[in-house]
Amino acid sequence: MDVFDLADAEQYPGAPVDRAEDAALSALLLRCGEGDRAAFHRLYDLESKRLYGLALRITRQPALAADAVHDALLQAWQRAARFDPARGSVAAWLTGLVRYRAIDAMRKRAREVTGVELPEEADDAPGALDRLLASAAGQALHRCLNGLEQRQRQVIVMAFVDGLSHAELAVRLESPLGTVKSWIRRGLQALKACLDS
Amino acid sequence: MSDLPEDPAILAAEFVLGTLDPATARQVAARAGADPALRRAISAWEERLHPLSAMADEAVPPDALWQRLAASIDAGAPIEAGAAAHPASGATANVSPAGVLPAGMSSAGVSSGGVSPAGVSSAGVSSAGVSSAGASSAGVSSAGVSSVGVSPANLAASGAAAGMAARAWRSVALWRGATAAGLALAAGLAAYIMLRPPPAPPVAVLLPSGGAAPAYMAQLQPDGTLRVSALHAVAVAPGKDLELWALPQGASAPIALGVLPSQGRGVAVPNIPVNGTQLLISLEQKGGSPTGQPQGPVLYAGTLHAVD
Repeated sequence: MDVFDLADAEQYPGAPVDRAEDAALSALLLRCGEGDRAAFHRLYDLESKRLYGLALRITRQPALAADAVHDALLQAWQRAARFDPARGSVAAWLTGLVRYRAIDAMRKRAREVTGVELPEEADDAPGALDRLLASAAGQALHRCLNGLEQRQRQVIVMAFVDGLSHAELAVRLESPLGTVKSWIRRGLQALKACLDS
Repeated sequence: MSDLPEDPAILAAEFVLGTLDPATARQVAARAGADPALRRAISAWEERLHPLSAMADEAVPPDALWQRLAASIDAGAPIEAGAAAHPASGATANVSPAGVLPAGMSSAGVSSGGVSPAGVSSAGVSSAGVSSAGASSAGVSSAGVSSVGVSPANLAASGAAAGMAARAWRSVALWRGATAAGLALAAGLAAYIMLRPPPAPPVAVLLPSGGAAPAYMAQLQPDGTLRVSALHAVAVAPGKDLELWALPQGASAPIALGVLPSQGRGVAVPNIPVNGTQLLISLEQKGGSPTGQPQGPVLYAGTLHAVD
């Protein structure tokens, strides 16, 4: 899982232009806010594979993943006119919308069964790290994650990418719950310090 | 709550990471609604961590997903007007009570006719009566009928029945906001209930709108009860119930008439003027709305009219 160990932090490719991509998404979202359905369709074409893949990774179930993406993109359409590009990027916003729904669906499901139901561990495809490093922001995040202790890095990545809860992380890493929580908090604090510096 | 991180920045981070337990996440969401600093912190963490999403493999969603989204939009899900004083960042959108929490609770697929190729969709049912995200999509589709919704405007163009449709729509809209009403009509299932006064047997006539089949009819019985019957199979998502409401003319809030089995049932009608009263069927949590007012989307609506 810890693909970060495989990477040489010195070998970042040239930073691609994230900004141009997000400007395109922002422009589309702006048109969505004016009720432009063609723009929404284009936004869907550009982002749905990424968002559905993310939801599928978290939920492991196509129906739940589709629900998460549907609800998230519908909300994006409804709130497009109020989106403030100064606050953040469109892609990050959409990521959040989808993840919250996918994770919520999974937590709800976990409550309905007894105990913790651990999803099977997903292997990161070889391309995962390449994709992370394909953006300047991804490179910065990778560099800062590499600066964390391995366990801190691991819990943050697993929580974000796989949508695992504290309890699921504790089971997966065979560590006490309190220790896992501590890794997460310290890791996040260190990550913030690094990224904001 | 003792587990809550003290540092607000870390609270926001764990919210974004998704590791807060649902109850705590709910508290954070509620707090963020009134706390711009917390909202900004959440947005900032969304931005910081978002590149990690690239690590999940992309996957091509089923074709039906776009069709479902398009139908939800056609169903009249409103675009929230720009609010300059309160620009919605990702956090605002996510953190609103209608955002994060109800999603999982709201996979409220209702399929009509028992056939729902792409139609079972989730309605983001707001737990706080927030109507905008609420009645987003009822995912109702009938066999052989496109799941593209019928907007109230389209409906209004379809004849005499449509006039009534428009009236029903307007008055429901006044009560619940256009979203729910748009939904009811978008489903193509708005029902018109006509009542023939005694001695002629009460007859309920349900006119199809938008080519889709009506779902229920209601007839006033000689004993004063209302007989509500499904005209075809209506499937309700597990964990959900339909609830029937009466909205008398001029009333500001509907009266609960109880949970309605999907096949319908006889209902005792309170002492209200029948003529002109709207009947609404909403989708609620199991056992019906706990608040005495509809919490979920209105799926079907119709007005009681005496037939002359």
